[in-house]
Amino acid sequence: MPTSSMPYAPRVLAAISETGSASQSQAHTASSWASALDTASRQLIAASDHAAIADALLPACLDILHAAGAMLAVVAPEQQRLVLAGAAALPSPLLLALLPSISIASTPLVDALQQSEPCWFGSREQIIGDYPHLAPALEESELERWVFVPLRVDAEGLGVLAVAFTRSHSIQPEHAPLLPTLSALAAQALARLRNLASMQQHKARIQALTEASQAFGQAGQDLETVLQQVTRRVSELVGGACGVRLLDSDGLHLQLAALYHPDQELAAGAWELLTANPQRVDEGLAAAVLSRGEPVLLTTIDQAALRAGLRPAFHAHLERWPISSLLTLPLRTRSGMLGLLSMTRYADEMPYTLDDQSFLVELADRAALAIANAQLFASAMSTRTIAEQAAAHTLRLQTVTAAVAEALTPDEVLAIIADQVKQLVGDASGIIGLVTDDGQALELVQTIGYAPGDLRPWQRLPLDAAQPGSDVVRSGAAQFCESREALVARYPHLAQAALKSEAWAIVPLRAEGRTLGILSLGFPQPRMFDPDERGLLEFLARQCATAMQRTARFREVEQARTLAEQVAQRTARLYALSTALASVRTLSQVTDVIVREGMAALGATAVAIYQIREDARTLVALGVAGYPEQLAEQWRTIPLDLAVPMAEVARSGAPVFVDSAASLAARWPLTAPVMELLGDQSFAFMPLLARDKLIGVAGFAFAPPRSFTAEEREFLVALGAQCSQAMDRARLLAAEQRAREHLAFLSEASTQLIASLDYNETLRQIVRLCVPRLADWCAVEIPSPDGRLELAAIAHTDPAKEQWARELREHHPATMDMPVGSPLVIRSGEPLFYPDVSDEMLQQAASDPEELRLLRLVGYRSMIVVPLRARERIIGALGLISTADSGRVYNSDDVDLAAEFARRAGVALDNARLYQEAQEAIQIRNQFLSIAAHELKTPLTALSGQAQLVQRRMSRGEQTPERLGRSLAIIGQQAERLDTMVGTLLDVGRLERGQFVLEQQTLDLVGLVGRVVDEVRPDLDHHTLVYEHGVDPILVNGDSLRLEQVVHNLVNNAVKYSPAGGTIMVRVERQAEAALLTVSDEGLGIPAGDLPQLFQQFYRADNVAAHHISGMGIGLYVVREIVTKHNGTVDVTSIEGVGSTFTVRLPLAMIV
Amino acid sequence: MDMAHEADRSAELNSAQILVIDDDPAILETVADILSDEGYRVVTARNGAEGLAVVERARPALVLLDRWMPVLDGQGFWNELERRALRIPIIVMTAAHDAGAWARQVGAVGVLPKPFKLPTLLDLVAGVLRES
Repeated sequence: MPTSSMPYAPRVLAAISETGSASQSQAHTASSWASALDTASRQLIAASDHAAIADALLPACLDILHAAGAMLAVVAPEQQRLVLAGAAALPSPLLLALLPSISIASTPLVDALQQSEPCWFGSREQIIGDYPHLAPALEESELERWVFVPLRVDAEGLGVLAVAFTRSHSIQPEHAPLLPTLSALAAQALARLRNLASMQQHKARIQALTEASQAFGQAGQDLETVLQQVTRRVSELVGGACGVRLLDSDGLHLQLAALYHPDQELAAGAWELLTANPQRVDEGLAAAVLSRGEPVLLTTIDQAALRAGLRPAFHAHLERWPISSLLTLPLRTRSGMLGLLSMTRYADEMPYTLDDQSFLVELADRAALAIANAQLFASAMSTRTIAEQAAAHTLRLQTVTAAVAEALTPDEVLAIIADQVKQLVGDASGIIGLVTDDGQALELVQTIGYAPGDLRPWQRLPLDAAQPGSDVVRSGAAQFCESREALVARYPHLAQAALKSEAWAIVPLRAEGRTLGILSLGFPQPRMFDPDERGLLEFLARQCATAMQRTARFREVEQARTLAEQVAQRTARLYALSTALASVRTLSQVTDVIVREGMAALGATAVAIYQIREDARTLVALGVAGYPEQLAEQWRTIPLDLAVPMAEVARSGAPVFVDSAASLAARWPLTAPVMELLGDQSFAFMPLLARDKLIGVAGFAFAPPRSFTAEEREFLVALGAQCSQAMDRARLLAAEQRAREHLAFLSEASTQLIASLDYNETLRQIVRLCVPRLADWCAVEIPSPDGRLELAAIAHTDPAKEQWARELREHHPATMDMPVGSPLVIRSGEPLFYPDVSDEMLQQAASDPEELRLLRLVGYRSMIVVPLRARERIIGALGLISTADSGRVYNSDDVDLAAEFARRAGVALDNARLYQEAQEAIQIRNQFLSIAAHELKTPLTALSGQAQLVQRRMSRGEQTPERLGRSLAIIGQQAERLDTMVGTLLDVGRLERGQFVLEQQTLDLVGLVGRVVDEVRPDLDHHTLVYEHGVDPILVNGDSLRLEQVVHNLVNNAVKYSPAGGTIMVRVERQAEAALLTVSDEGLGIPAGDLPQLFQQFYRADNVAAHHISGMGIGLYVVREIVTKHNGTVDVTSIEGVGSTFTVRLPLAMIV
Repeated sequence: MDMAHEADRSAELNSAQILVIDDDPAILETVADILSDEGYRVVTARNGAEGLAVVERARPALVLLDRWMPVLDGQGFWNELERRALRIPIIVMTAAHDAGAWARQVGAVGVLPKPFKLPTLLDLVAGVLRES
């Protein structure tokens, strides 16, 4: 500061006077001022402050220039003002007059500073003329001439050197160049110092800014503290009063937020004044700063103008503390203007400089930041406080909301509300009542803090009762009764009521504009209900009501959703099943799909599909899955009268649902094994109906056991309908296909059957046609005359088995009297149909355990036996047997087919037999003709030979009467033989044509036989003929000639067929109502196989040909025909090689 | 029988003995009478067995043999001759239509179908005896 140079003044002044005398002596030498200049320049370079510069410069001016006085004024670091750095030999009044002041701004120093060249004043008058105020000081000195040298560096005025001379002393021309040199040196030194100072100031300001920032930062987040820190710190750093005015929330006014000045009185006064008079933003200095965003610096204040511009309130304050300088800066952050920072200096304090301004700009920015942060924080804090308060409240409500939100049923809601009420208002007791469905009353549904029973009278409160609860429901508005008196005031009739509580809160449970009920609370003490509490209770009630509503709706929605999902799922399953069913055609495929897809669709563990037989008496398993093998096999077929659910469903046509295996077994004891084998399950049995007709039953098992809901039942029924349709379709298709196949089979069979006329080949063809197309086994059985049933033909895919079956039949012959199978069919002519051959049936059919074992080996599953007919005669039976090989189960279609096939087979067989018989007949006839010719030729040979012999003897004359007699006898005999033969042949013809006529009369059989015996006996030589008979005649009605013919034939046969001779026994006797004629011989006998055909025409037993016994095979035929025409019978018993006995029975003649 | 006449003839025809076998007595008698009338010595048999007995006893020069007979038929008789290596010419007599075939089978020297013409019989017998 300039004052620092003052202690040197006497020395400087002394130096001037000294040098003044020395100059006069001209004692100075060049070396001496050179040395002085050198000293001065070294000192100048080393100078660290303005005083040091002055100390170096001013003596040099006096010494070298011989000046009378000199002074150095420099531009102070604070700027804009020249201050004294040092002076030499100049009086103080003059110094003060030369320096600028508040009152005098213009001096030679100040003006020189603006110049680039030194200003010379040659005389006192001249300088006083320009600067009159200098006159007093000048006139007291000897100083006459002045030079003011501006000290400039880079056109910047740093100071002014003033050098004064007396009238006698003037600057010597040889010294003249020294002045610029010195002033240049001084300017350099000043510049250096100024730079140094500037640098230091800069540093200091940076430091200050840093510190200020830290200080602001450390002020924390409290706005008040920050503002105080800011104003105080800025005031300390820059000087003057510091005030912060902030824009208020409406943006129209600036409110003084903080103000600092070291003088607390001043500060307090200013604070009071400014806070009481808020500044509008569009007025005065503030408006300029805020609108431009630039600081405004007022270094000179026109006090009068200021006073005029301010309200009177300010006047007293300004009187006391006149403002000297004002600096107002905007406080802003990036987000906007906060307000103003105002600096004020008072009285004679230095005005603010531009340096101050720029520093303050920086400070203001930092302050603004701190203030903004604090504001934000304050704002945040205030927000948080509100939020926290709200949160605490909300938390309670949220707890309730959250709790009820989890509730899934109205009961849970009520329990939660009760619990919450207890937590919120612990000493209360209360109830929750709901409006009944009929809307007539409130029903108590929940108590809070009451002992059970306390509220029994309140269980039901009619809504028209004069009770607070009813009113609340009706009005939908809460009632709060602070005391018993308040209650009674409203409900006088309750004055006498025994009341437990002293205060009541009754709030409606309202949701969606409807009052569902009430929440009624009673408190043990009279109390007020503040709005918060009321709000809370109403909130609780609302939550309760909403939650109840929601849970009810949730339940509905949940049910609807579950239902919809189930429906969708089922629709999808049904669709999948339909799709799968649509793509298959056969019953087995349909069954497969139902079993597979149906199980999947239903999630069933087991399934069984049954089809009903046409006989409507049996269910047959089509497809079974999931059931143990044992069960599946046991219930392969189910009779409809069996006490099992499948049969019941089939009988009733209605589905059956069973929840557990236990109830299944309880209802149908036969199903008890299901529990053991399958475990506990639920069962559904669906009738399969097509076109209103039961076609089968489907059974499904489900684990774990469950009850079937109405929807599940409907679904199962729908699924059953799907299955039924598919099965029906498949059945129809199969039936149609089967019909076509049957037709094709019959057509082919007809062709094949007429391919051969051979009987045995036809038999083979019949059985071969049936295997494997109709059966696994096929047999034709034909009864034989001896009552046995012959296995005429058999076919199986495996010929070895055919052989096995033939052997089986050999070892276990069948007879026509058996009560089963083919014998039954052949006897009755009706087909037999066993869809399922059971083991019991095999046991019935078998005659012994071994046969049963063999029958079981056949593996019967299903069987059809149909009669083989030919021309209304049953000639045998055709049996079709299905085994496990094909697994086929016959139905009525198959029976029809078998019957039709059998009819054609019968015809074919009959044709073959007829053909064969015809062939045989032709052969027999040919044979007969040949035999007959031979037989006829025998007598003819004798007759012809005798005739030629007679002729020859006559011609030779060798004839004698004896010879002739013998010849004629032979001729006669042979003619008679011929006649008999021809007669017999004619008889055959007559018999065949039906022209055989009897001439009946009553005759004695004993006599008739006797006559024949007598007639025959003479011709016998090696036979003994015995005739046995009683004494009494035995009368029969008959043709005597024909009966004689019978006896002749039988006796002649006996003779003829016992060529070795022996006894021929003829007997006539009476037995019961018949006459009995027996003729026995001891001849060849007849083979057993020939006996049945013995009486056929042209038939001759095998053994007679071997014995070359002549005969035409018509004798016995004629015998039988004659006897039959007499209503009698003829039989034969014979043992080959022993003999034969022919027995004729004739009815006795009725004696009238 | 007229034995004197028979002797005349037999002398004329070297008294050849002929065996006739037939089961029919009338035929047997007739054939025997015809041959006897021509002077042959005739022996008759009712079947093959009787015929064999005659052959063993009398060694006839010729056999007239019927085919179908009880006890032993023509074939059996011929088989027995073969077995006994007895070579006697045989003329078969039969009413059967296959007489020729059977005759060849038994190596018969002649066939006489029944009923026969008397000269046929005599020519056949005479021819056979002449050759033998």
